[in-house]
Amino acid sequence: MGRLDGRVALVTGAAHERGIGRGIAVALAEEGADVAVNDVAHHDQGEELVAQLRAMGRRACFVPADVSDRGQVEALLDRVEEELGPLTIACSNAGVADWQPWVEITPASFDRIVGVNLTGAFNVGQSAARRMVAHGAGGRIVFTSSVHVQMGFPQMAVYGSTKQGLRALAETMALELGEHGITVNHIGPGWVRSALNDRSPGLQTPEDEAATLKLIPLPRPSEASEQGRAVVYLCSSDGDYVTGEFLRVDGGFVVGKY
Amino acid sequence: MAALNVSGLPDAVAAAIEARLAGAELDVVVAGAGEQPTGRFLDVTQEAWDGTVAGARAAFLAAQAEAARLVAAGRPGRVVFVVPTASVRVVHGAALPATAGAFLTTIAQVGAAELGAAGVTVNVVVHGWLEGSPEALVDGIPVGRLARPDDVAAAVAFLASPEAAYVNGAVLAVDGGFWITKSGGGSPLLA
Repeated sequence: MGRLDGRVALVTGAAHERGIGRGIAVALAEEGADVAVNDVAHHDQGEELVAQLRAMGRRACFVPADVSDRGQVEALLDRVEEELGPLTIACSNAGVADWQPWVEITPASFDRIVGVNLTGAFNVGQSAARRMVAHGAGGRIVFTSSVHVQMGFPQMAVYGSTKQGLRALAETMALELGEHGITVNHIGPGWVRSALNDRSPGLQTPEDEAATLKLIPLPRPSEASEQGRAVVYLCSSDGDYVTGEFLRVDGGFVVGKY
Repeated sequence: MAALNVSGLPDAVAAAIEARLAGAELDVVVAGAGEQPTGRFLDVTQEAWDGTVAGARAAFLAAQAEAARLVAAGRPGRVVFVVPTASVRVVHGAALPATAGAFLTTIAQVGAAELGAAGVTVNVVVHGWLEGSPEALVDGIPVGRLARPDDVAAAVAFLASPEAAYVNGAVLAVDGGFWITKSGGGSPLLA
């Protein structure tokens, strides 16, 4: 018996083999959930992940879509519910980042990051919430935010701001959706060796990595699977009374920073 | 002659700030995300969401342009973002103002970290529920009244002054204490 047997989950931004989304998708499936995998790219890796989930005995499908486009999000959720049934777990995880000095941030970069990280989260969160309310069986919505909610990082103003905006959005959703039996939470990964961080100017050399490790009380990066297990907690009955919460899974990275 | 640039704020607040800062010693840019509609999250329209994003975008670009000018010129200056109290204490029916204000709060703090060395400070004023908001909100405000435009302007004027040279990345709530408490009875915004 898994803790999520019979649940239908969607994870956005989940195809990449080194992404947090994949860690979430696999962790949900390990607990019995059927999982829809979404991504805007990396189709081969998405299909490979679906094969892995099916080999675990779960129903799974890969549905490409750009979460920044509401029409595509509605089509995505239509397809997920047609293939797997009524959605009960929505993990809005898709995210992008750029590193630019504050005075040099370009409008194009601003629009790209806000479009995916914030508008994408709104699109997925609201569409999922409307469907969960209509189904009348409650649900779980989990956003992947970041330690940036607690501590801003230079060169990443827009990325961090989307996560802070997401914090406020998730909290408001938690207030309003509680009466429908829907919990809304967000997880705060610290350093994960994900594809998103490949371009981080502060993580390019072994010396960079050593310096970063000195900032983390548990001196190692997080595995994507650890983020996934935090999401499982929030989506299982163990997390029934948890809503509006920010769950850092960062090895203590930002403890003592604020 | 110092420059003053105020955008994205309710007219009465902008007017109060302009009155307070007339003759200011330093170049100052004050930016808000405009006014977002309130109402249930489930009913938020895509148009309203897009307008919220556009408001936050305009606030950042206005502040960034002025900050870039100051840094390039080697001039000290002040950037103040003004955000609504829902940014720090969410309430039913205020998803959009909360999101825009929270977004700008981190924009400000990262700007503060990057620009402080150039003599440009970046801070945030959290404005309380302004006069004209539902009176029932007063039940949740320890000071017992809605915010006046000059309450906000006074805080902006302090942050814009030479006395605030060492205040950087701060979030100054001028909301009568709304964010530190919680009143019963639900949100008047959804009444």
